[in-house]
Amino acid sequence: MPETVETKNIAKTKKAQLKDMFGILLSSKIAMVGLVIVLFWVFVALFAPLLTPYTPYEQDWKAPNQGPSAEHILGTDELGRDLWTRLIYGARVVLVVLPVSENISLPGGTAIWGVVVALIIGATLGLIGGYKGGWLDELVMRLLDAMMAIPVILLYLIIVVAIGASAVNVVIAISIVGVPGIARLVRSLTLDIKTREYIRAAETRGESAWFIMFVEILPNTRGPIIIDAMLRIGYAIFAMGTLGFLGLGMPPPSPDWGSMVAKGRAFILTGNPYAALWPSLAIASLVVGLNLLADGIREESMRYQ
Amino acid sequence: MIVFILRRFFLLLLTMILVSLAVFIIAESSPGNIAKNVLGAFISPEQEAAFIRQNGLDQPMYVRYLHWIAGNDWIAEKKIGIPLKRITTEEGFEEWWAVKDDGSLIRWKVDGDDLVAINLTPDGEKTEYVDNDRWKTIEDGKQEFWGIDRQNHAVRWVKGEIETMFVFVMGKGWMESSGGPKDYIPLKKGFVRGDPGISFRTGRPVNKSLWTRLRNSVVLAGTAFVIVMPLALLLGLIAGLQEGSLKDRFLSVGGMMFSVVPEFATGIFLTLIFSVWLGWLPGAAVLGTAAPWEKPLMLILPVLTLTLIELGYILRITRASMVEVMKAPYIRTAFLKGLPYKKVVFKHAVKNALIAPITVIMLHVNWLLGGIVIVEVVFGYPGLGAYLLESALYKDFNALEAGAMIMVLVAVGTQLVADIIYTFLNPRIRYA
Repeated sequence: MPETVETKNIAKTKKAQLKDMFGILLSSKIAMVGLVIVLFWVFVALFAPLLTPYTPYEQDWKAPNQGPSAEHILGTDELGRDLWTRLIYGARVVLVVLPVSENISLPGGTAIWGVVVALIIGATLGLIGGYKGGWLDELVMRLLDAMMAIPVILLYLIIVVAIGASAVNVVIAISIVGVPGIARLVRSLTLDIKTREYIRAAETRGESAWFIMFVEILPNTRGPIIIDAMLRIGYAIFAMGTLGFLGLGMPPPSPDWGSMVAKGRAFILTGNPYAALWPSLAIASLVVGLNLLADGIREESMRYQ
Repeated sequence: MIVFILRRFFLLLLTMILVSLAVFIIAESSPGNIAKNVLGAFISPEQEAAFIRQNGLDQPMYVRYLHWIAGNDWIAEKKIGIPLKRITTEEGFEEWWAVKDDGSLIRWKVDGDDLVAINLTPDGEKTEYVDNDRWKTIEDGKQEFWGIDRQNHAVRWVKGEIETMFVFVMGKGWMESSGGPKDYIPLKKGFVRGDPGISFRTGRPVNKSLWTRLRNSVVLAGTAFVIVMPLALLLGLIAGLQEGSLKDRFLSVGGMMFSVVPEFATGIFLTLIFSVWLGWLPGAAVLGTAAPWEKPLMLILPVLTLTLIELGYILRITRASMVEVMKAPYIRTAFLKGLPYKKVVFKHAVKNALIAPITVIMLHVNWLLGGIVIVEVVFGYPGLGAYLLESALYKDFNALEAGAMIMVLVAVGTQLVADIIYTFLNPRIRYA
């Protein structure tokens, strides 16, 4: 059976690819440093409830604005909430859960969801534009061009002011900003793949346009898309922090790194720098970690070639 | 080439129209009424209705959009039948008047059944007289008059049907008075004619604060740019010349770290280091009404924050470009020809290596604008970015629209310039 042989081959190369990836990771010190940082945050985010005796909302009104101590290892904020707890629950919102409403939360962090939604919409637009071509392509691309020309920060302001501040709206904002870039990438890949013979074969077979776009073309664009998505997650975390800092992120009591910084900033000059320092460090380290990882991998894989 | 530029120009227009539409739709659809924002949560429904009518907010959205873009004084002029003129008073407020044949200015108020004209002569003398001849008879024997009231509206009064009117005077609060008209047109010249309207937040023309804010932002961004450019290009060239060396690794990893950390985090770190621990610099840019160059000490931290972020980005692009150029065959030829190292680098390599970074930097302006907004908020710097955020949170959409338009103009404009520069720097594109 030729089919099984083929799948076996693919499985083998996949395994080999994975091995290669791992080898690259181990041989690059930079990538390793990045990986350790990212894994640290993923770990504390996953096991946040086990790593602290407090909840992120618990207020200790006897101990507001304190520095690190035995009871609160990173100190407390202006309402006496434990900063370490808020920090790791903040990581949870970024990387592990998406709080849709008070009672419902989805697995997969807010940043991750933002990138996934952008991927779905962007890929669809890119596929349609690239495969169908003609006036539809022209229209979609001109609109996306116009969107790309708008300063990102303005787009965030407009979107969040229009729909208010919540985790879901942050996802919407991140994905709208991400769509044009992804659509362009997928479109250019589609234009290339469209000329391949297996596409012509599928057309001759009489497959529908949707089948060709999503079953024949899309899987073949995954390589560049995955690398792009990795960088986008780093950027989404950056964006989440920025939105939170501007007061456009999660609604107040939730532990959001950006808004923690914004609140803590007021107390820097009155003697408690910790409430602003820790979340700034957290977001900086996570974003730098992701970039170190991506950079290291890219560099090493280039050396392999 | 010309087609290309025209195409870009068309894109600029399209983008601006899209943004203005988007902001307008948001002003319409967003929860939270502008009247409540301006007047507080405890206004009566009548007061709210009066505010909405007087500001033309009861009009359908496309009408408001058109008025915002192109103004509505020409519509009012047709209804009144006398040319209108906008003047600026000594206190800095803008006032609309009708111009009489003899060159003096005139506005009206209604007192009972009498129409009272307020006449302002060019030498600044104000007189009032009863002006009942201007009533026009309409159906049912009623009499109406289109004129200008004292709050910069074109209004329609109907004799005998004078309504109670609430007027909100900035700084004084609500004033109840009689003599209220039936219809209002809040007069404005329109954005394309240089009048973005009145800011709901301050009650003053947007134009006034906008230009100061823009100037402050330009000073901030310009200073950062002047420092970043030579430094980043130089460091990038150094790193690119010694690819893989310790110096290169240090510069490129360091540059990456600075460029990916969010601006507010960098700002917080710098504040902590320089103003809390070392106590060298002020941690906030409190300018008041002073121009930024009058208090240069306040500028240092914001500029430093912007510099660090941009430095890494430009450095990395320059480095990559330099590495690529140094591997090109023509550089090898130059070396093999026996040219000295310095000559090869400065005469042959650098020129080509700088094409990419210079154009990329222009494309990066979009990003830089975001950085400016954050840096301004972090340090409380009174620039355009902070203004935009305040207006957005307040839903002061006249100000938001105007600020957004300027930002888009800057972003798309620089992209246009970048494209043109690129075609000149790189003949391969020009003749392709």
